[in-house]
Amino acid sequence: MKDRITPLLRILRSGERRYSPVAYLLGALLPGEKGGTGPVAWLRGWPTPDIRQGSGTIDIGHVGLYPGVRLHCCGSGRITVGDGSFLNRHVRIFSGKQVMLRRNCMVSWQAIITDFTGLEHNEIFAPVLIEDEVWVGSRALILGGTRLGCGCVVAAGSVVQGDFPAGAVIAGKPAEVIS
Amino acid sequence: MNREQIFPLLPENMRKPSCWTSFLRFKGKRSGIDLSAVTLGAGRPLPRIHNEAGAMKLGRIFLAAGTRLWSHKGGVLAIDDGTFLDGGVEVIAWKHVTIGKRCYLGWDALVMDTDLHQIGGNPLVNKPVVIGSDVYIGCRAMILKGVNIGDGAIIHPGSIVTRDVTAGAVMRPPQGTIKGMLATGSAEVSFA
Repeated sequence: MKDRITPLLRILRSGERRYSPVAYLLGALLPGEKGGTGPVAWLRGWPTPDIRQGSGTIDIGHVGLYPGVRLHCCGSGRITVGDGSFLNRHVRIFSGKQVMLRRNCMVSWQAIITDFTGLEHNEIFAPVLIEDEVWVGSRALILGGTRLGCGCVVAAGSVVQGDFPAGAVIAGKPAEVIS
Repeated sequence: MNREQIFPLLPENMRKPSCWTSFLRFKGKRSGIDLSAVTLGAGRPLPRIHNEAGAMKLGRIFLAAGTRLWSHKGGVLAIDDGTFLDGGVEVIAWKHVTIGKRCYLGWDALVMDTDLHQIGGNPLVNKPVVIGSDVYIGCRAMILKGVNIGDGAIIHPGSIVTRDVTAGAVMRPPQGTIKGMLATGSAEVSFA
């Protein structure tokens, strides 16, 4: 009996990586509202992840969700997060068309990933594709029409829009007036 | 992009008014804020509206969950009709912040007319911020002290605004660029 309980206790006591049984149960009991299809690890803490799919689709695999994560869809928006990814605290993903993260992505604190393009394009939304093993730094802002190849690294605080090849290291600069 | 365009983009359960509306209006009344025309969006955390012996004039605006309005002693915070404040927007008025009609402030945008703290022995710097009508401010933009933004300007997501922006101007932060390539398959980083 002790052998069975000890690993569980070790998980429960291992600092940050504690799962929230209450949130997990809530996620399982409210499939329509929570929208998760895979066994999501809801890490313990407050506030619990806020997942609102509305009339869109949220499809997440074996993903670690830290407290404060928000996944929102509007209209026919679609959010897909692949197995092995984790979304750190206060990450926000907003989709009006499509946001796709493939496997083993890491998204740091307070990053925003949205398929909103800003207002200079004809379309308000353009799909975002983030390939395997991309690391997004904290407070980075990823906008619509972005494609990040495998293994890209986005530096903290950068604003990213465009198409980047595999293995690129991307960083931003301070702002200036353009017109 | 004004309220009529933005509003349908919110998830359904954020569009409805917060069930705490009456409570927040009562709380506002006690600190001298008239929230009768304000729509308070559903969700947590509740909009935080602090009036510390300042003045707050709010028209028919929409405050989403997590917004924070703060008028400090002697500060005036005025937001006109039709303006839409999306989740996590903070407006801090220690002197004077005016926001015009039909503006949109995106997620986590910050409007601040003060430095909040003195630097060294220098006096605290507060300069009024004026934002015109029909201004679009993208998510996580920062509007800092002493800035005038003209009507119809577009501030792209992620901009940090420290100087005046003329009417109809478009401001955008330089985008992230490739600084180097990772050697795929190895742990080493090779910078070109």
